[in-house]
Amino acid sequence: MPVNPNDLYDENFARWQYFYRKGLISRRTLIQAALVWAGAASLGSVLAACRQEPAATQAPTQPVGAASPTAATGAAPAPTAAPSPATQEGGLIRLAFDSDLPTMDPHMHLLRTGIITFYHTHDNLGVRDLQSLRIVPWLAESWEIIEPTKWELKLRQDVKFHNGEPFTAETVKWNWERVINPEQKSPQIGNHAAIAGVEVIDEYTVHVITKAPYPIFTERLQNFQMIPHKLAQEKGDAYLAENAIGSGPYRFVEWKRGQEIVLTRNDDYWNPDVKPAFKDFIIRIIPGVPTQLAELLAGNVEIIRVVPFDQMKTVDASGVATTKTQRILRTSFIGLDCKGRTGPNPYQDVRVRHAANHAVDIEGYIKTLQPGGDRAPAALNPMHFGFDPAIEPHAYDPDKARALLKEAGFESGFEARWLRGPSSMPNQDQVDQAIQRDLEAVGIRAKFETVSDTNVHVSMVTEGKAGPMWNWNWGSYSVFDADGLYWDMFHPSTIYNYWENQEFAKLIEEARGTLDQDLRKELYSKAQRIVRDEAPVIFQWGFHAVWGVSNKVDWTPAVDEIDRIFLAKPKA
Amino acid sequence: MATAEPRGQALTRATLAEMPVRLARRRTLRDWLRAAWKLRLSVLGGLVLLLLLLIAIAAPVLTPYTPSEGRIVERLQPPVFLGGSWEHPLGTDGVGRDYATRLMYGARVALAVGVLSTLVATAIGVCLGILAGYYSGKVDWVISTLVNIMMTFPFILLALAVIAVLGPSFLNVVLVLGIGSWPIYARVVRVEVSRIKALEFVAAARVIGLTDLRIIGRHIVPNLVNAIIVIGTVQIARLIITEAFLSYLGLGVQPPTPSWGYMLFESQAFMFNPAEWWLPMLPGLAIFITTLAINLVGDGLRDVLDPYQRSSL
Amino acid sequence: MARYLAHQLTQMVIAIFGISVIVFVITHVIGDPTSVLLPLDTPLEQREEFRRQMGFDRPILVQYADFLGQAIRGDFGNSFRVEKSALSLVLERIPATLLLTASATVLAILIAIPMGILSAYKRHSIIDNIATVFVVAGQAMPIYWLGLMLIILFGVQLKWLPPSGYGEFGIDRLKHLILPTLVLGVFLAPVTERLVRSGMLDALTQDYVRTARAKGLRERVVLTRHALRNAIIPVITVLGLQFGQLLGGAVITETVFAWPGIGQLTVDSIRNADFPVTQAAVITIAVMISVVNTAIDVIVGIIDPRIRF
Repeated sequence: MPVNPNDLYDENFARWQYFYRKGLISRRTLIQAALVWAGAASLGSVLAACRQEPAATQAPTQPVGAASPTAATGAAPAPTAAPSPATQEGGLIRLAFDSDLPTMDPHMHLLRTGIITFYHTHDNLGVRDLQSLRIVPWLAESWEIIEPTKWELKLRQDVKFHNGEPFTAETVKWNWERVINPEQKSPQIGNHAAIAGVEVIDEYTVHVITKAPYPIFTERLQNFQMIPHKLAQEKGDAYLAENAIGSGPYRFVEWKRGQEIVLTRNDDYWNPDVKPAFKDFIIRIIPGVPTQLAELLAGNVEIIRVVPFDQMKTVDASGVATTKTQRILRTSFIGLDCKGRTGPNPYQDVRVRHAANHAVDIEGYIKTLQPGGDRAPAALNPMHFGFDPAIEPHAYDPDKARALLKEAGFESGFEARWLRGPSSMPNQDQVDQAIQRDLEAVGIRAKFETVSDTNVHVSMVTEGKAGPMWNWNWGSYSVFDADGLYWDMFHPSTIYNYWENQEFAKLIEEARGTLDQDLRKELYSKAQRIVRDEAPVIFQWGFHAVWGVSNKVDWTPAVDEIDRIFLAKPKA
Repeated sequence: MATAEPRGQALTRATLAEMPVRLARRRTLRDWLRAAWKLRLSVLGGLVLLLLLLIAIAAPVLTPYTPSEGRIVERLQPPVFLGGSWEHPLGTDGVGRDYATRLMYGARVALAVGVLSTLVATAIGVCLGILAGYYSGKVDWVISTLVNIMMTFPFILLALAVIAVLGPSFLNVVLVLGIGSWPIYARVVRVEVSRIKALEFVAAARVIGLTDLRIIGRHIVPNLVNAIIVIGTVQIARLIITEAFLSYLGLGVQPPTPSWGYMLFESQAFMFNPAEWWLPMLPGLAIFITTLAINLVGDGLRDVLDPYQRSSL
Repeated sequence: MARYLAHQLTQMVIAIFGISVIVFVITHVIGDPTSVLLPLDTPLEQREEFRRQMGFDRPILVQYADFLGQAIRGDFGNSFRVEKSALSLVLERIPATLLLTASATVLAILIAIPMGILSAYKRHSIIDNIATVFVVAGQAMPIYWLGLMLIILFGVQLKWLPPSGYGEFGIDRLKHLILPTLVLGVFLAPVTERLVRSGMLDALTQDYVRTARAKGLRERVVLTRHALRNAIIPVITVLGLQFGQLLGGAVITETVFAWPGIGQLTVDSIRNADFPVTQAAVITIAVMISVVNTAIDVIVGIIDPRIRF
């Protein structure tokens, strides 16, 4: 591999600029130099291209389909036949993200794309079992509650990081302390707000102290990646921000900012059950769904994470790729300002809120505009622990809605602003416009106001400026428990709160403070009844998300939206 | 033209008296036709534009639907030319709305955005241009510098930033497009004003005590009208395209208002569908045809109204 | 020459200063950096406190002076999203943008000059009309629409070219370059063609052309040696002036083709409210435009003997 000409390009450019700015060279010299340099650069590029050409035909850049048959059979981590390292040749698999990561430091982001990337380069203490949806041991071998606020974790003893550093109790203590240290300014600090501290008991045992009994502790063991702490102390945060060094099934190779993240299989992975079939794994940054679709259909990426609803049939008919639909935890609703946080508005009357819920044909939208969806009659997703299937959703009944509005004194309807963020649910734009039309039919004239930036949208919501209605959806931080949604959205103490109900608050507080799962189920059932009757939002549904997967790859998306590429296999 | 006369014939008093009249008449007839033939593309553009204007104005009469009504169960019906029914001649969109209706109302939005923002730009540009040209010195320097800055910088970036911060709405889009595109008028007006100012009649007007305002209004503005019309025409087309791009990034006119740019944006992925390619194609074509027609008209107007090509830079 | 350069330099400084004011106003006065800098769940009081700490409560002029002082030293602060200096994020995107704009300019010239000459030479002929249609059509084409159609045709249907991305250095990159160049070239070519045409129309009526013809020179020689040479100078100047518009077109093209250039970065930063990057990018673009314009003035001065500084 010759010197990367890009570096030269940058360097020269900066140098000439510098000379020129300093007045060391005249403008004419600058131009002459630029011309000479441009000529040289283009000549160099041609030469380099010629030299590179033979290399380009080698295996790593071959599309998946070209993976040799031996690799295809040998790479499959079939539980029956132990894979032999000699046949682990593998091919290339490419996943598309719509935007680049901000960092390679797994503790310094709050993004889905980051979670996916670091799920491959790093390891977590616990991971979700995709069948039971429970968190099961991973780097932690086992855990138990020894006191209501103390958890004991036993750690695996055979884990080594990519830099050769062993994984120990000290590593766990350092990682947790790093994230909960306010000085570190980790955006994930909120996930670990309940953690008071970590004690090292012996080389492979730690005690985690929580501030109060914490029933969803194990949920926090996932999406919290372990960083080799000696390396971190030695090289510092700036190094971590550029290099994803963990212990995961893939090793970090290169990050071309704005273009791609290159990973390669870690052949020394501690867990023999996880043998990625593809040797090279590249994450390509492709903004724009149409462009991603084009790349999928052209065979230049193997997996894209969003296929628009109306293009599903095109992908399926293409012969190149297939769509895969998967229910996910993320749940949407339209927020209503029930307590007038933004200002007095009609939704402060519970009858108007019920009217809005009866005015919209949720069942109809799921059937016609969604790739599927699970109704959420009290905002909870059926996959949340504590979901009560007995709760009756609002029926589509425009006449009832009109009657309720009349009763509330809005016989001729009213006008309300509807704040929309960047669309983040499948087919959101069509759904919103359909809802807008249905609301208008009963007299609620909602006017869109769209902000293009998620941050601005979210901060308007948290600062109480979003009323009287706004789009919202919540992934519950992948916590499959009612607490993950109810606490953040509806507890009076949180910043997302536009509805207050003391009885409801007491119920979810009690459920958070006990480890008795049957009692918690009962408490959440009562809480859901209150939410249903108070209708603090226009209830929508739990999403079904759609992935596009190349026909050359055998892979199924996961329920927690973490794409596990190490489970993908080439199709025979 | 003398060549119109039979050669060798003596120019009698009678023919001389007759000549201008005859020549004038013949010129009118022939030149009209010849000009129209020479400018046939512009004439065609003008006819298309006229048709679009009619459609935009008469949209409520031409269609039984409103642009936002429709039923989801009737979504994605094909247009007539792909086997659809005449109930929805151009089919329906993803929310079940009549596509022909939305395209017709979209003409309103496009032309309104284009014309209004051009008016805003013209107003600002002409005022500042006159100021700069008439009162040279510091005023001129400040305005010219501003013009230079704005003309070299890609204004789409600033428009993006401003709308991202202010929030997209019809008014914001019109204002940003208007405020972003005035420099070209200021530039042309300034040159013209300083040229006219130096002419003798202005000095004469001043001597007899006419106020500046009067001189500007009487003698300078009428001289500029042609160039401004030509620039304005072409600018309308440019701003329609810019609005479409803002809409494409979700920063344009808000739904359910039928903006062609937004219709293109919301249907762009349908380009992949063998059955529904017409959804993005029609608004794209609408933008294309409209701006094409306007540009053709602008080309013709330039030839006719602005022989010195003052408006081309 | 020195005086002229001094004048150009002042103009450049003023222009960049003006842009800095505009971008500062957008990001600081209209937008609110705190909503981006703080975690989303920060209570209101902490936000106020943070505003004080960051100095966002100081008079706006003081803040601007501060911003300008740092910007002059190339310090726009760190990106809100990435723990890196905003300027370095911007600078690493420049090569991609220069590559794209340069190749688009070359393509535009290759289209525009022959077409401009022919349509001026045979005014109101079929060729001229075709050229006119091309020009207006090119100007009327929403370029992202064209981009998508090209992606689908060449990338998905025919599979001749990669639909998007930057590619590996070498032949692969050239392949990736073709479609974006085509789109951006079509964006730039019409204006250039019009300039060549009007320049040629003007030149063809000049005395020296008549003289050249009278000497019995062949028409091809008259056109290329005499007329074109004079018509080309305003074209070069205006190509320089168009560089800003070209970058505007590059913003769109880069977004459609996932081309990792400065335009895409700017759009991204605006959408993520990453103000330091927006500021650095906008000012860098302003600098690039000024440099190119000045450079072109100098080049024109060199090739046009009539201009003396």
